[in-house]
Amino acid sequence: MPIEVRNLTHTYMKGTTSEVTAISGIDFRVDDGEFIGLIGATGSGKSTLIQHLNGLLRPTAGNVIVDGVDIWSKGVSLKQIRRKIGLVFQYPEQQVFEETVYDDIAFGPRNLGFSQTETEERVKKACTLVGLDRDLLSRSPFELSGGQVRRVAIAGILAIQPKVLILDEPTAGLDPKGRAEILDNIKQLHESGMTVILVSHNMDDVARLCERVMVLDRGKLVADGPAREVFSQREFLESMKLKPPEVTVLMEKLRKRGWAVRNDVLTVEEAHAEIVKELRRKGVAGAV
Amino acid sequence: MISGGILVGQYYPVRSFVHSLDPRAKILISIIFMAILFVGNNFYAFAVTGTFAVLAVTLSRIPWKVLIRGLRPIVFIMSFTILLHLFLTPGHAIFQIGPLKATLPGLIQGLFIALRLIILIIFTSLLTLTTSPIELTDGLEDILKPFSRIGVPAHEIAMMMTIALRFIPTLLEEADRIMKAQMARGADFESGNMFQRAKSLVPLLVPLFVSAFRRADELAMAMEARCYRGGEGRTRMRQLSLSAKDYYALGLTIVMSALVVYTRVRFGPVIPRGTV
Amino acid sequence: MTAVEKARGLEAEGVVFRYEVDESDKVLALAGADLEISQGEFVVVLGPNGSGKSTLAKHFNALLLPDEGDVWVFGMNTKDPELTWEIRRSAGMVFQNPDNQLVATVVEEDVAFGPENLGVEPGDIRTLVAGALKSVGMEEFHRHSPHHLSGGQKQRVAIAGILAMKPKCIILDEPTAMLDPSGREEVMKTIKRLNEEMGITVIHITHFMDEALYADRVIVMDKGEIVMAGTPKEVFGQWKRVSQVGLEVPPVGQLSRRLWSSGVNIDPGILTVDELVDELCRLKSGI
Repeated sequence: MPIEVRNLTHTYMKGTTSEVTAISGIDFRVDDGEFIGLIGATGSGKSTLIQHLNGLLRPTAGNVIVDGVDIWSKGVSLKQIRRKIGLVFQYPEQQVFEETVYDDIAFGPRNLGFSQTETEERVKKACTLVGLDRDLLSRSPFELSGGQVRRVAIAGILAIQPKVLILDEPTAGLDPKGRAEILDNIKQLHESGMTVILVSHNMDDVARLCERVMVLDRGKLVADGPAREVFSQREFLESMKLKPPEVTVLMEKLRKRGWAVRNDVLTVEEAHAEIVKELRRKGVAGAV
Repeated sequence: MISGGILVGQYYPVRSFVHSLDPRAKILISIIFMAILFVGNNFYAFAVTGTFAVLAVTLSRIPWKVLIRGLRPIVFIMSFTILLHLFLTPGHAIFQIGPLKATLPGLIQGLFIALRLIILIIFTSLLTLTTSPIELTDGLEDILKPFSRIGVPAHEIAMMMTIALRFIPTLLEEADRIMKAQMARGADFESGNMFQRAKSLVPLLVPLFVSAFRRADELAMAMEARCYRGGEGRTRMRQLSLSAKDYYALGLTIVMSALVVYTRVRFGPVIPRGTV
Repeated sequence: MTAVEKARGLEAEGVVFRYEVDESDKVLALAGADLEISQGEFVVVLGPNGSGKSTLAKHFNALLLPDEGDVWVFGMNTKDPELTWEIRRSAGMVFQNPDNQLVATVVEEDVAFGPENLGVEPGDIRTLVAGALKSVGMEEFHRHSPHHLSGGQKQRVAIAGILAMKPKCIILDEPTAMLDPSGREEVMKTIKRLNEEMGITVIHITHFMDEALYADRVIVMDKGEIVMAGTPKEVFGQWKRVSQVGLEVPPVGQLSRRLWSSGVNIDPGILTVDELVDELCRLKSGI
């Protein structure tokens, strides 16, 4: 179920004195099974962009085409679009409202008119996907810990069983353990065939997980390519207040000091292998 | 971004005579003006109050465009009032739609009330447009202070106003976000009958209240950590002081009021009693 | 170290604290925490959610009082109600959500809030506010509305609001949790500068491991107790314990350790990019 974005532009409060163009002239295509990282400084238009992908915002100009159909053309049900493209907002725990965890996760499937048995199945499946204990289903979401409610909220979107999952800063505010757990869940969702778009400020996470990275800067899509290529352009990223992963920076600094190492390293493991290889090549004692 | 059209509490920061007036003077003038607007009962009175309002707007250097935009939310109420008066006031019919009879006194009465509403809205929005919320609360606190002896919580009212003003934009943004988050889960806020629509607000209102309470909790703690312990022994960085121009403005207001009272006594109501 | 006795800083002695869930149910948040922080120190507190970091921080501001044990702030016992305001003035506190701690609709009015509560003379408040805003580099925003500032700027205003009370210590309870990387850097650089230039004691609580590198001393909390303490190198050097409590070593630290364990002759405790680059280059050129 590919998504195509053509010349997408959005201007808030068009026609007033406080008119702001949040994104302009954006073109890209998302294919099935991709894992995309969307990065950019605060205010670069990331939130505006993703809200177009499931029809929460209407483009001022341009088109969003899902499965070959413009989602704003006549006769298209936005509800059906939102069923295919799930969007998890930042701090999603702020949207829970039902008395029990079960009801909250069931909100989506019920809105979409699924039967009771189908809803129950979906809720249970969503729980498994985010590693949520089934004993919690009868509890009030307001009694749970921060990390748990976050997972309830994500399960609320997964229960819709979308084909594409968009997450806006899913790990914001969590401790390292909570972060690792959520990222692990996302990784598994992708491995099971879901298309994932991850909006994140954490370059280490994006570098480790995403195959393709898109960079937004002041409303324009300024880079779109394999993670390795994008992250190896340090100066370009820094000019947009973004920082490549630390190990990438490290390798680049080593290269400047005459090391023959790759500059497109993304993880600690890769950096380790590169450095050891180079030391060995130079016959430095100690490098086994 | 639904905070777009709301004018209340939107300070328009330019330098002008009206902006530079003491907030207490401006609050007093607004109160007197509102009262006198209802004392005036004919079109001569509107000539006086209208001129006064136009003068105030001119001196405030606030574009008319901004003020007129502020009238938008009341267009419906205003048209409704005019229609109601037009058809329900007894008198000589000017035209007729089915059983509904539009009368001349009705037309005059409707226009009269609409005009009063327009002047009222323009003048009161002028107060918030030219006075920063901070000045406004400071002024209010000061005006209310003499009444604290009889149990009016002047400081507390001012504090509540400040906090409310501070959090209105934050909560509006939050409402917008929660609404979208629920729509992403298939929620529908737009269709259905009245009952269904009211019910569909639950997923918006519950999270909004939960969040507002959490914010209140955190804010209370942050205020306590900054040594807040009520109005007792508290000083203010900003000191209010009345200057010559405040007295001029107040003086002018009194002259205007006297004129309106005169028109009332001299000319009487717009539709003389007994004509209907 | 000389034998000169240091002025008393912040001390927690066997602090036990229980949160009341309801009448019968209490949760132990602090289980006998002992900690001593000297004046002028920059301390970073790490620990998983629910480890008691925040609870401990609130004790240093007399927002919470210990069930057992004592907390002293610059020699003042927090249990003495007479001293509450002086304690809060001298050990100011900045919180996580930048929106929920700014009171006023104009930046300078917000910064003035603390001194106003303390009953400072209006003229002096102006000086304090101007000075505080300058210290955090926000002077040009003094007439702005906080609502339109970025997260990092809001937190700097919150810090200025504390500075205006002329504190000796600032306690920051996850001030960077809701910020983007550039906002985080703004805040960290600001507090580092305040610590270095004005000698303000800093207690910074965070989930971001890389922020620990700013610290003189890192404290790790788990289950209501202080389980590790030392320089960043010392703490992250014990990587096994660090991961046992659910924390992680910053990437460069992980790399140093891995290199060291595969026989590369470097200090396994290195945590910063520049230090590791230097060390590797030294090694390669055989010096």
